[in-house]
Amino acid sequence: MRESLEERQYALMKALVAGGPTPPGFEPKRIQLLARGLACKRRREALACWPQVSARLGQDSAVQLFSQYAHQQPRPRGGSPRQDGLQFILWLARRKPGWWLWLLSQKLGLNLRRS
Amino acid sequence: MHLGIGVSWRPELALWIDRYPKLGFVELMVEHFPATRPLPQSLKRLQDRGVQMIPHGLSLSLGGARPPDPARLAAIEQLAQRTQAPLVSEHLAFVRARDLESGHLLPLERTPEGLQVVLENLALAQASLSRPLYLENISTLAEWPNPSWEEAEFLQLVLQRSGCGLLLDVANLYANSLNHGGDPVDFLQRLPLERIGYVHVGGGVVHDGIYHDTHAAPVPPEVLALLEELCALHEPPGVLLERDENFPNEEDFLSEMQAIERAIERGRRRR
Repeated sequence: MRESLEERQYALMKALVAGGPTPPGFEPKRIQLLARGLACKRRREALACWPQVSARLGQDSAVQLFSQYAHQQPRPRGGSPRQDGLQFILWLARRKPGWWLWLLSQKLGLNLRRS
Repeated sequence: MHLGIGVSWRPELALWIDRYPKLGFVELMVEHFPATRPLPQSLKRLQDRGVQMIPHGLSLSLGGARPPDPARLAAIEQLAQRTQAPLVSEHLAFVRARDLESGHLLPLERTPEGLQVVLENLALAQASLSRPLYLENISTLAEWPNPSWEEAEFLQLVLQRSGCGLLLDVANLYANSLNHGGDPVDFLQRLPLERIGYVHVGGGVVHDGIYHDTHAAPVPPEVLALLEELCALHEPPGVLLERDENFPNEEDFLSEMQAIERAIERGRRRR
């Protein structure tokens, strides 16, 4: 019983957070609306935990890059926004190695400024 | 049980909450208070003042297909003990499925299978909590197809069979009636009102004909009217304001609290 319920809940979840198709019987428009709302909430929460990232990237860039990242990677297990933000920084670091140094400086409590 | 008027505690509101003389209780988001960190000074002051505290969970996924996570249950229990809480609350919702997390409350399928699973989960949760568990009704944009029960009946069945109390969110009730149809007062009349522990009141916005329960705006008059209706039928032990974003200044905060107090008073006079 739990297995069949899980199938259905997973199908709805995939449609909402992982770009899956609208499960049968749901209204596609409402699913899209809800999916958009969840994506915004995810981004807001993760970026709010790491204000330094938006400061470094600029707000518009941060929003745009986060959307790209979120499209490729779901919320981390447990769903913590802080962890999600860290996962985003690691994603950034794989594209621009300068982020590794930045992350290290944050970890060490250094305040490195770009000159 | 008496709770009085309350606020969902946020650091951004801490000073206003601290200075609000009629405060009876605050709600604490379990996920924001890990056991490894001490409680903020401001909360300790409230405790000294005799303000009651209620741990409120977001991520237990009580209606999920898998049993509730023992670590999350332990976190609720720990916070309840640290704050000497009279009760704890969570949502009638699910937030994860296999490896995916929604980060937000999703609706339950109102079928015999959905009911059975949530009742089993609730029994497990209750067994690891030393306080009574109160369940909150959620608002949702998307509804499962072909429900076996309407929301009010499903809620009633869950409460009756689990023995849980009700945390009634009148803003969610309003949101669902606007977004899916149905008369919210009729909904109220079909609920076991004597099981209510406290009530949530929050603000939202209408966008493209859809009501979004954002907790980022003042409480709309329609939601206050619903609170009044409820208090005319049955006065709940507590009423609590939820504001999570776009925080008001002290004056606006006080006028929100006053609007709630007045709605309760209007309902009381009609009884």
